[in-house]
Amino acid sequence: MTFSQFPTDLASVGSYDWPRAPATSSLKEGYRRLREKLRVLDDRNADLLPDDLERLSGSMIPDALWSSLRAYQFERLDKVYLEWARREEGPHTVCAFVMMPSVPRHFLADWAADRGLDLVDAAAVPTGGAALIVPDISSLVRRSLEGRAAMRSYLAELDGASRNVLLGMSSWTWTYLAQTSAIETVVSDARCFAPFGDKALAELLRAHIGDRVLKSADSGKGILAEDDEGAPKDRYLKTLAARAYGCPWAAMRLLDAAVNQEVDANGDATELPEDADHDDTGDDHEDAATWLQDPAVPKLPSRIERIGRFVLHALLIHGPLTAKELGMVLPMTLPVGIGSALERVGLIKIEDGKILVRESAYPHVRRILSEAGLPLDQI
Amino acid sequence: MDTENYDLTKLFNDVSGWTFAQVGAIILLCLLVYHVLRYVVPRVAEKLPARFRLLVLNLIPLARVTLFAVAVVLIIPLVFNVTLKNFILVLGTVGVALGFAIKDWATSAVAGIVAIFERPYRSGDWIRVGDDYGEVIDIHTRSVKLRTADDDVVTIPHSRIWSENIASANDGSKTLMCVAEFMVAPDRQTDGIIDILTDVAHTSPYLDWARPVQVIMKNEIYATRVRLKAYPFELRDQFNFTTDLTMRGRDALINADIRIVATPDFGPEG
Repeated sequence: MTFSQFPTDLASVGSYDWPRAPATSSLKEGYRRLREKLRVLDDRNADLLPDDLERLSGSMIPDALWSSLRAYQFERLDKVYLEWARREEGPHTVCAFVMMPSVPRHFLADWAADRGLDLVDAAAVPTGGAALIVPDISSLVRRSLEGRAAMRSYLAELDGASRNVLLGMSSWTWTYLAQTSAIETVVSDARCFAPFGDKALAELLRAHIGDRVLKSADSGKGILAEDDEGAPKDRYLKTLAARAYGCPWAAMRLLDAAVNQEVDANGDATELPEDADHDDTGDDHEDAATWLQDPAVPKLPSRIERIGRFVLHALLIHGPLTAKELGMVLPMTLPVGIGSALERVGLIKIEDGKILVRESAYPHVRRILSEAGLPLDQI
Repeated sequence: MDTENYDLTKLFNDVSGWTFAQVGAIILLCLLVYHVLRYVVPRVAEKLPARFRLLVLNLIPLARVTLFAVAVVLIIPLVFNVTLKNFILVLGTVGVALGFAIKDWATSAVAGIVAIFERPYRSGDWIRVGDDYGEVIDIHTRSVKLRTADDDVVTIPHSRIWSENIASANDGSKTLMCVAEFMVAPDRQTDGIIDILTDVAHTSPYLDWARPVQVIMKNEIYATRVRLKAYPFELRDQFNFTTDLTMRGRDALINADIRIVATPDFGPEG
């Protein structure tokens, strides 16, 4: 499967072109959120939505879409790193691959394992020929005096490495290290996935769920209909790309969360007939459309709003942490049950005793931190 | 004599009960709008993204001046017969009244208008006037209100901008410099102090990463004064930030065998 609208290269860190929502969408969204915060907006139902709708309990996104996206991004990594990673002779360099926290966990590790490359999780550079892949150094970064001393030693070791090293890390870890350590002098090249704009998202959706008529509850129009220049006519996908910060995984999860399916009299979701004839205008199949209406965004409970932001910020920089580790990187006493409270809101999850930000909630978490003025990731 | 009576009569329009009602309604309406704004704007500002908070808070003093001007423009033609001659006459009378009766109030009010445009302080700023340091929580016609770190509210007349220096810690920006001070024994090597304290700042969750961290040393008579300077990302965290830097900085220095000098009292900083 070929995708003409997908970004063909990785982006250099520092030149990431953050997708922007249309100004009217941003203003409208800002106004709506303000009304929500002031508690003057209770009913989010749009006038354009038909009455008999229900939110899908399962996912609308087929596995094939995720597989195809993964394969495509693996190829982007191959293009830049594979030959370099298999090279044994010098000169040896240290590169960084920076990912948003909404990229699936272990993505770089999966790619490296799939390509048969050397992987290591510890802060050490064992001798070897070909490149060493450190899939996520976030777990090695600790905001403590000991953690900083350890990171300095690790960077010194990397500086004298006798093999190529690829460091994987989250965009937050990268930004923290770039602002407060010498990582940029050790790393010769830092890249990240290029942003997916509205055209790329439209192409991805058409390839995998093009048989559905997706309509925006905001405008009432089909979101995949194109104008003469091949760009989506409706602003939904442009806004979606901006809300997902250009990360296709985040965009698909946001879209999936926005799905409202029409139900028939038996309460079952209406399926499109197999031989349904349709075009991309979204004007046909009026009765079988899948409507996209963004659900209410999660909010931090007011009692833990401030401390909750610090917890989320720490989790983005350090990756998954136990409650004890979390207490060590924050100087304030954490209220009992803060992990459970944040989990109930849907922003984090607890796996094997470690607290981590939900990949699907990352766009909301970044927005919460941005609105509170905390230092953000910069790529 | 007749001429004088004629001029005075022409100074005012025919003022009836209805005129008083109109004037009262204008004043009440302007006051109402102003108080509604004073109630609503700070609450809305708290809900907005942090970068917009100070901007929105500063709409209140602007709105006050605007409403005052609107009220004056609406009321004067109702009461006065506006001609050049009358205007000069009224101006002279008002000038005398302001000069003698409400001089201090008028000075502060004029300074308040100057402050709105010159902006030595804005709502949300952290300023020092004399011995008082606090956040500007309200700017009235005559005075500015500060809330200090001890939660005292201090009312300071605007007229002090004519004669005193106003130190603004953030000058409208969303952050300000915080300083943690340490007095270390002067008879030891200072190796490592800068690195230790820089690390302390870099590990604080309150830190604004994009701003520089600095460590400054200065020899005093009995000790070396070490000042750790850094910026929090949020103005209101300045005391938490300074406390965090001080606590962890002191512990880190002690752990590194750097002796903190406790006595004698060194007096005010140089």
